[in-house]
Parts: sequence; C-alpha cells; structure tokens
Amino acid sequence: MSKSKVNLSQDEVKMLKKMYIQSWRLFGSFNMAKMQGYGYAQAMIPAIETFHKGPEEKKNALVRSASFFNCTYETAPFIMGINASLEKARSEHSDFDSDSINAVKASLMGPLSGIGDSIFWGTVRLIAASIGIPLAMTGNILGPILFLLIYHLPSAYTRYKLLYVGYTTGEQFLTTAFKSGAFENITYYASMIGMIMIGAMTAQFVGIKTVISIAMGSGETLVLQTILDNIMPSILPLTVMLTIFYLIRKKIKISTLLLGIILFGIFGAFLGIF
Amino acid sequence: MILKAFLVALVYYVSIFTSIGMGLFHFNRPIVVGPLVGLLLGDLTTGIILGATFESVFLGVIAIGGSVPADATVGTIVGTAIAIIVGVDANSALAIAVPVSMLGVVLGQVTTSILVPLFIPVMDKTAEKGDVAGLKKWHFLMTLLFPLLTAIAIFLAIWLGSNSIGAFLDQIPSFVTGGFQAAGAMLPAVGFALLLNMLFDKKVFAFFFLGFVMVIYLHLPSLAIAIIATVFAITQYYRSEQLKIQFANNFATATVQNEEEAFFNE
Repeated sequence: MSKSKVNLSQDEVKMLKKMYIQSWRLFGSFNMAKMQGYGYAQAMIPAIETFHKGPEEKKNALVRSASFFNCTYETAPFIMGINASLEKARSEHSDFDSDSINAVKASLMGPLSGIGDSIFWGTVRLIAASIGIPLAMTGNILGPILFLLIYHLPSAYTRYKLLYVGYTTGEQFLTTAFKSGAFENITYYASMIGMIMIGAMTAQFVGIKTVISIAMGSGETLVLQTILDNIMPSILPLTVMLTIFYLIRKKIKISTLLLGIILFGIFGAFLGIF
Repeated sequence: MILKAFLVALVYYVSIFTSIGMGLFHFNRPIVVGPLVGLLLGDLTTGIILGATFESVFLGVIAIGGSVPADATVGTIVGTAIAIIVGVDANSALAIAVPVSMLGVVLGQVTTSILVPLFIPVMDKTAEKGDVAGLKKWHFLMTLLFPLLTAIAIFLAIWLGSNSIGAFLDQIPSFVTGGFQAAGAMLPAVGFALLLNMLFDKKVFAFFFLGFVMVIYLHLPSLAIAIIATVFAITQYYRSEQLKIQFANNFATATVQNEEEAFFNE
C-alpha cells in the first residue's frame, strides 16, 4: 500500500505474527449471542499484552475485545490491525477515548463483510470449486486438494496483508476512507464481479431439466426440453433462480423454500415433469 | 458397524474443528469431507466422486449472516457414508443427504443458540477478571464443544440407522428418488439467490445476466469469467474516476464563464 516503509519495532513485528496466527481461530467459539466475539479476542490478546501493562487497562481492553463481532474471515484481520493501532494510541495517550475503539470495530464490520463475501465467497470459492469439481467427478484426488489450495492460498495471503495494512496505515485510512466514499466504491465494484459470477454459476450448477415429451402422431415426439433449449439454453434454471430470488425478496423463510423445492421436485417427478 | 459409525462421526468432528478452530475454513466442504469418509470406509474413489456430486448440489449453500439454509457437511458425510456402507447409487445418496442436511441445520442451531451461549457468562467473567490464560482455555474448549453434538448424532444415525436405511431405500418409489434428484438440481439456486440478495444493487444487477450468458452461449470456464469480470470492474473504476475529474473541471470552468453555462443549459 504505502511506499514509505513504516518502521515497526521488534515487539510490534512479533505481536503482528502472533495476531496473524490467532486470527485463524476466529470462528472457534462461534455462537448466535456474540458471533465471533471471543475468537476476535484471541487475535487481540497479543496486542493487549504488548500495549497494556497495567492490570486495570488490561481488563478493560479484554472486555472491549470480546464484544460482539461478525465479519468475513478474510477481511476481519484488517479490523484487528486497526484495533491494535488504536490500542497502542490508547496506551500512549490516556485521554484517548476507548469507546471509539468499539465504534470503529462496529462501523467496519458491515462494509468489510460485504467486500469480503463478494470476493471470497462469491468469486474465489466458486473458481476453486469449478476447478476442483470436474477433477473430483472423475475420482481424481487432486480435485479436493486443488479446491483447498486455490481457496486458502489467496485467503491466507489476504489476511496477512490486511492485518499489516490495517495496523500500519489504519488511522490514516480511517480518516480518509469514510470521507472519500472508498467503501461504497470497493463494495460497488466487488458486487459487480460477484453478480457476474453468480450469473455464471447459475448457468453452470443449477441443472434442472424437464422430460416432458408429447407424441405428435405420425411417430414423431415433441421433446419440450429441446424446444426450451432452442429458445434459450438453461432457461429453466434461470426461471427457477429468479423465482427463488423473488421469494427471498418477499421474505419467505429459507426452510419453507427448501421444503417447497423438495415437494415440488417429488410432485414433479410423480407427474413426469422431471 | 460401531467402528464405522465412529470413524464417520470422527470425520465430522475433525473437519469442523479444522474449519472453525484452525482456520482452514473450507475444510468442511462436501468436496473435502466426501473423500475423507471414503478413505476411512475403504472406498476413496466413491468418496471423491460423491463429494464432488454433493459439492455441486450444495455449492450455493453457505452461511450468510447466520442463516444457514442447509448443513452441507452433515448431509455429505451421512449421504456418502450410507452410500458406501449400503452400496447405493448417487441419486439415492442424494435422497439421504438433502433431508439430513436440513436436520443438520437444527442441530447446528442448538449448538450456536443454546449450547455455546451457555458458557458466555463464564467467558465474560473471565474477561472481566483480565484472565488471559483463562480466555484462551475457554475459547479452545468451545472449539472442542462446537462439533460435539452433531458428531454424536451422526454416530447414532450411522450406528443404528444404516441397516434399516438400506431396506427403506428399497421401499421408496422411484419418483421420490427422482424428485430428490430434481430438488438437488434446483438446490444450488437457493444459495445463489441468497448471495444475490446480499449483494443486490439495482445498478449492478444487469451483470448477473452477463455472467449467465457467458456460460450458456460462450461456454467460458469460471476462471475466464472471473478475469473478464475483474477487467470490467477495473476499467469501469478508472472510467468513473476520469469522469469525476472531467466533471469537476467542467464545473470549474462553467462557474467562471457564466455565459457558456447558460449556453449549455439551453
């Protein structure tokens, strides 16, 4: 990011390394009450131990770090980095308002999840799967191995990089990012990529076909799927996808949708549609 | 059977522990746990193939904002195990995996909404005392606890159920397995629709159709589509930055030359 290398002290480098390792355990105590709260605290412990020597400060910082947290795995270390730099500021200036630390955390979770989800869940995972699945379909063990490598190498690098960037340029970033609308910008372009990938995946993986055929006399049969393919290939998957999307927008519960799809499938198979 | 049931439950336990506790986040995906079940039950190839089959069914099924539509890990593990133990084909395995994946959601909700939150007060107290070692210990214990309930359920299901499931699968009419096959073909759409809903923005929705068409007419592989999409995003970004500068410049000159502005407004 920044060309001028920020000089980190020996302790800070060691701290960031520890934070990086602990950040891998973010989901370890996931629950609906605090989500990744205590997982986040694990990653903050090295920073707390580095900057807060006094027992009272240490307690407060621990409680602060264990508040509600939920963010995409890959982008969360950026918040951890910023948080660590704020803990440092807090330890150096006693008039630094500690409430602002959790405010920063809370305000960054949402935007960073949006960016992280569309890039990692929406794009990287789908690329990994689309390379791994065809290989594995032939019984090749490289399928699952490549799937894991293609996802986790970029994931590991991103988390490492974001932790450092968050720590070194965090404060400066915060003051400019919100003003310049950088978050809206990144989210916008990330969802553009996400949209294209979701469209592609719908065509690749939603594989519903109909087996309806009508006898036309004179020994000819009219196969409905062929006609549909002539209109537009994958027109049924597209219809299914957009219908489900519409129902989700209408706030239909996911469990209802899933049950509905199964019943629809069985009923359709019974009537000879599928 | 008790040993097999234990091994299958162990796959679940280890895969979830690795995923949430060690950060290999996708270690619990069907494409990974299918082969693991296959390996331990002595039929690696079937495990790999079923893992890939289930991955394409559950590909869209991911946790978004705490709402998990189906538990792909549980469904795949039980489906693959039964298929290998009883010796059924992929379609029947799917007829097991899909309902089981939905039961798995219930177990997961019990874990994340009741079981783990039971210990939140203790952990809060540990934090308030400033006990770093205690907090580390509790976090680790929670990671050990997290997969336990579902693993036990899987153990019981395989141990007690696999014989009767074989007989049951012979009983059910073919349109039911056919129905599950059709449902399996539609299932990814739920996950993609959820993802779409999360990223939804009227201004970029049209790009969904661009991706769709790149596959159905151009038959491009995913990597190619991802690269094209990235190129799109980058060029659009620079174009919009350029427009912003141009707009700012125009605005600056326009305010100086009022007459010209009036001319443009006509």
